[in-house]
Amino acid sequence: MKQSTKQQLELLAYKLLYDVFFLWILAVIFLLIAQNILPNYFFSQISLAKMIFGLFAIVFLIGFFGKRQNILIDSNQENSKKISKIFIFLLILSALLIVNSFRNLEIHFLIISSLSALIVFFFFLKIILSNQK
Amino acid sequence: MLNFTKNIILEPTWQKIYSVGRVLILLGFLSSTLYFLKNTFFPLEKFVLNLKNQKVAENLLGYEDVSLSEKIFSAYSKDNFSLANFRITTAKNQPDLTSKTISLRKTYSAFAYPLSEKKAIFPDRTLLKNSDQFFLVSNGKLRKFSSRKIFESLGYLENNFQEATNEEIGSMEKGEEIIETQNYPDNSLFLINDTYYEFFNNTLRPFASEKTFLSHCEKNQAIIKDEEILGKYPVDQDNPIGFANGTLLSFDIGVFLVEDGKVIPFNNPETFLALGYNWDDIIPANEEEIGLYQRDKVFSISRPHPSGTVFFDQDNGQYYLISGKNKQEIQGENIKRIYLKRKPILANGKSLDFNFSCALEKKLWPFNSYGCQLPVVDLAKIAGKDYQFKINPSSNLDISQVNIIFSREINWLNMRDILSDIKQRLFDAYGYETIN
Repeated sequence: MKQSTKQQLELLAYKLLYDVFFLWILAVIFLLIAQNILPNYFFSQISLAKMIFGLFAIVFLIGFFGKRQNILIDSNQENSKKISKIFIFLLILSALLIVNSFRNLEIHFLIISSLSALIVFFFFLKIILSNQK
Repeated sequence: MLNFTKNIILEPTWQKIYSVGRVLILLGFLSSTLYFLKNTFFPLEKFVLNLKNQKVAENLLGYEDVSLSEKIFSAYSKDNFSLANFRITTAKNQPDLTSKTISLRKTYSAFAYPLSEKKAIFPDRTLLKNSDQFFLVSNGKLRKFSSRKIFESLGYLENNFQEATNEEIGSMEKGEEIIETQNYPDNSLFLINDTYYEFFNNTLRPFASEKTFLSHCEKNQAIIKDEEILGKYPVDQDNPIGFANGTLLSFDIGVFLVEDGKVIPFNNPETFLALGYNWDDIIPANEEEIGLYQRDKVFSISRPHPSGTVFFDQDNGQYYLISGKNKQEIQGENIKRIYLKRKPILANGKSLDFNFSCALEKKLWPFNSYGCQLPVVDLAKIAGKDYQFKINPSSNLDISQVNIIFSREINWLNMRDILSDIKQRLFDAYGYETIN
């Protein structure tokens, strides 16, 4: 196989895997939300472990092709803004899922654990922000 | 769809391939999503019986070799379905099963037990009166107090006795008359210092608690006595009397059924409901009361109702009591009142008939296999959890495997059931009351 064909093929595989990765992540997020809202309803038909394993396999292949083609993750300003928006969205989503999974706990325990989590989170952010400065 | 790799430019030909690839990935994703949703909302339920190698991943089918010419396979489910696919695979050189009929019924396997000639009788310990005659049911027999003086001198009052009709009295085997005033007859009940006791074989056996007593009897069946009697007879403190057979108990997060000195934990709420039990009949038990019993294996959906269960046939209005592997008719209003302390399990007499059938056809694969399909939508109206398939091979048949697959059609009615199930699960998960 010609070198250029091989390169194009690997780039094609990289791009397609990236698309599969996006859809796969979307499916995992949907399933996690569904599982959180309706426990054991959706996962009776599908294995989360297998889905996570599949996700790792895709990430590994993306890394493999990326390394072979010397592709670096683009870190220009526009992308980093997009990533931080996604990060905030995922953070809020995770917080909502955690709060929802705590719904059956006793109110006193819930208040104490939520306050502790907020304090830890506050100091965690403070450390990150001070490092950035 | 978002493009995360637009900075990576491909040559025009490869870009076209990439565009086609993206469309294919999207189509694959959409079809997988639809397949997943179909399997989640309209799941197949598969049952298998492998007589050559018992290692199977699917649910196991129950198998009953009724006779050489009659075999019954039972699948267990709380759900309703649209279609049942039946497939039987025989060993080599077996008779041809083409055109043989497979019949199906949906019922409770305990309700399908043979009807005993014996009718249900008043349980032991019951005190009965019929005009001016007074009786105690002791050791399964009806013992008459020879005179009013006798029962009065034993300490009984007239309001300890419940009415019984001539027919109810006549249906019972007669025991010896009670003529002694010195000794109490077996199955006499006493209330001594807030503890209930049963007199049996000249020994007093305490009930573990008032709740355990009330699961067997009514409060007014016990004679109130003072402590003196405890010195007169030995007291068997090591073997207190527990709850009546068939009592539903709750302890911690578990629900249990009492059967023959054991408690059987239900494996999940679905099994509890599939067996037709009622949440209102559960008695909260404490550690001491639960500790009286050994724990048995979990109560799964394939297990039949135990002895002591009462069924109500909605088709003929008759009540039946399960006793061992038989069912006894409960006749007489006063007997019914005793057995109906707990709500009966609703059943349908018509469910005992094998009303649905299909003719087997030879299948190309696997070899020696035959199958047919039964529409089972109408079974939804019938109470029960046991789907029993009957085959009558003309001679002894060497079966290798039986597969049954239940499926639901994608239609509005089934969708409504699913939405209602989701709504119920949401209500359960978020702490609302159960809706009906």
